[in-house]
Amino acid sequence: MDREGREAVMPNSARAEPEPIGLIAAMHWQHWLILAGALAATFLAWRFSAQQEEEKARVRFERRTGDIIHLVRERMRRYEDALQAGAAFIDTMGGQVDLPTWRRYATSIGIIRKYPGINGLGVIHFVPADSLESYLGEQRVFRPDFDIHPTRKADAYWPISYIVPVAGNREAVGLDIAHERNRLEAAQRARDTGTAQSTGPIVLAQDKQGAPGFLFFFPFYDPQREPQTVDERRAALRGLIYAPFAVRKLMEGALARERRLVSFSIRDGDELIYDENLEEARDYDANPLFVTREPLEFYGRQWHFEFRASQSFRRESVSLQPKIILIGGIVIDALLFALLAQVSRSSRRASRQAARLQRAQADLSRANDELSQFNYRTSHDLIAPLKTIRGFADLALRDLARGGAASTADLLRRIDQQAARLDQIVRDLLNLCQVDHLQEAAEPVDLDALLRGVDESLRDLKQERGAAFRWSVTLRQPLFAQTARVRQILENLVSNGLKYADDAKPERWVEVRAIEGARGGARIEVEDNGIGIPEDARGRIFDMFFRVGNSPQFGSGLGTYLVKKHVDAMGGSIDYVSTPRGTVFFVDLPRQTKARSAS
Amino acid sequence: MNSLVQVPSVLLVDDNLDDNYIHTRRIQDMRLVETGDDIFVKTNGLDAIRFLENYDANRRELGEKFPPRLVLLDINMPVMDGFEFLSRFSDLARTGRYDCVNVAILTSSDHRGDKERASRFGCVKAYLIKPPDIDELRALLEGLA
Repeated sequence: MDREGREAVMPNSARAEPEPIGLIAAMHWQHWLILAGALAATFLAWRFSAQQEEEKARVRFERRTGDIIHLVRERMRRYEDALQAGAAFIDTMGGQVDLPTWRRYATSIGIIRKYPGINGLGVIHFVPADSLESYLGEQRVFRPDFDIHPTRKADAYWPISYIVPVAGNREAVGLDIAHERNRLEAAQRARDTGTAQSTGPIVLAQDKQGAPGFLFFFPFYDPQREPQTVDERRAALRGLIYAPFAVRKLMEGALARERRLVSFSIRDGDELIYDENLEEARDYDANPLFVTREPLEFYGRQWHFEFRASQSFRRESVSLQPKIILIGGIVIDALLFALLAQVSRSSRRASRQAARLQRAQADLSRANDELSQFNYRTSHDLIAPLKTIRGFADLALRDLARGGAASTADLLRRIDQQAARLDQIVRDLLNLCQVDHLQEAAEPVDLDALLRGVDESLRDLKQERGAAFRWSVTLRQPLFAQTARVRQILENLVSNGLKYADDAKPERWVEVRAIEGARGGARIEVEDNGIGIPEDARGRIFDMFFRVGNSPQFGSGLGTYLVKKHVDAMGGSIDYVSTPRGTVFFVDLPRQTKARSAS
Repeated sequence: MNSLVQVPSVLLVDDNLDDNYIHTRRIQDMRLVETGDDIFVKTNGLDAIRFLENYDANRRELGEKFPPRLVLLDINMPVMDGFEFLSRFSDLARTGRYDCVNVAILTSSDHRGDKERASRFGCVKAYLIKPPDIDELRALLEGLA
């Protein structure tokens, strides 16, 4: 009941669900352009921000590496100062210093405490071969077992005379550094330049682990002279202040490893002398953000630093800003997309609505035209019999004025016929008005009784056309419908059959058969052996005002139209087959258990 | 009610048999023609035009009663309507044999378009709405006499 009722009140247009518009399909190309622009802007903003962050990180990395080189250089300058101070001290002492004095000097400048990374502070004497004996004599005053090693024959010797502290450096005491090219070369460089110079990487004599190290030399000369040239320096050289370094200790002394964020390695030539860039290191980054190489002029040597950003650096450099920009941008773009899609969809919907309205307007306009046509036709059809009646009445009056005539009765009969026609038209019009407003509930229809009534009402027509009317009802259960509709359907179809009876046929008849239809419905067949419906009328016979032959004598032209409306209102269907031998109308009515109302 | 004007014959073209009956009686009562036989009745335009086309035979058979001096023409008719008849008749009139024939539209349609359309045909002398006024008809025929 509910469903039926709702269907009945809902206008057709509302019942048709609008087909869903695809989100993508609805988008206009300008919208895609806007979206592409927004996405591009997001991407650019993200790239820009990421580049900014990378640039910031690079600057930070470069500052870090610069700091490290600076610290190393500063530290070395202090050692250089310490060595130069040693040279100055010996100078002050008149070019000679004995072991206890040197020990006191080295201890008092705080060699271990103030110079982390330095292994000791020592003195190397330059001993030409002819002075060797006197040199050994001097040394053996304090150390009877002092000797130069390794033992060899040479023009001159460069033995390490003192080293403070001795502990840990005992191996070095008495070592002739000239026994080995690398040490000698650096010593000669120091002698020739009068400046601090470093050896290439060496294994320190005192280092059992063989870790890389280097010796740092500063020359001192005969205090009586102030040598200016290389030759003068060579002639005036007395010895070198020297300090051995283990590179590792130097770096540990110079730089706190923690929080440095950068690790590095140092090469002297091809030789790796220091390496923090180890995979097993805690902070090692296999894929560092930055790697740079920096050369460093290191007291006559060329050192090469390789810096790598560590994991900590990566952690500190990771900024959320580009990601926020990217994600935020994408979210905004997505919202924009949703908005545009919504706008597109709304506009499509609106235009579809407009189209629907336009259609509705066209329908209305057509309906209005039809109504106007209907009014014209109806008034014409109503007036025509009236005019005829007046014409007959006028003639009858003339007859009477002449004392009456035989034709007068004929005229009155004609007047009566016209009045009957008028009556039929008005009746049809009334029925037509009611088609849409018939509220009567469906009920079991006694078809037999109804057909008997039809027969009765069409008696005159039957007589006039000389046609018979017969019927049969073979329904297992009574038709359940609105009686008034069924009656009008039958009256119209049967009277049509009678009107169009074929005068050329000796027997004229109309037959109604009510039989079981499809799916429990009823089928009513109305057959006649009349003149038939011309083939060119197919498709028009249920139109308003359609009349075969278009003669007003045959009625209002509303009969079949009315029939069709009633059949439609009951949810049924109607069709026909027709030949010049006759016509059969088939009315199929569905099985109804509930009232069906068109209003 | 004697009429001063009389024509040899009238052609009535109308599908409405009742109207034909009335109009025939009227024309007789007005004595527009001599006898009822002088009124030719056709129920559509085609029958009427065929009747007119058959000039020689009709002339032989009907003498001076053919062609009819007046055609009373309905507009809405099956088979061939009044306008179709008028255009066919205009072709016929160009032969010169039908100069004496005049047409009066006699219809229940007071559609303005119909009246305008009909007036474009030179042979149409009047446009009468059913039922025709007796005096109107008389005046028309007097004008033709």
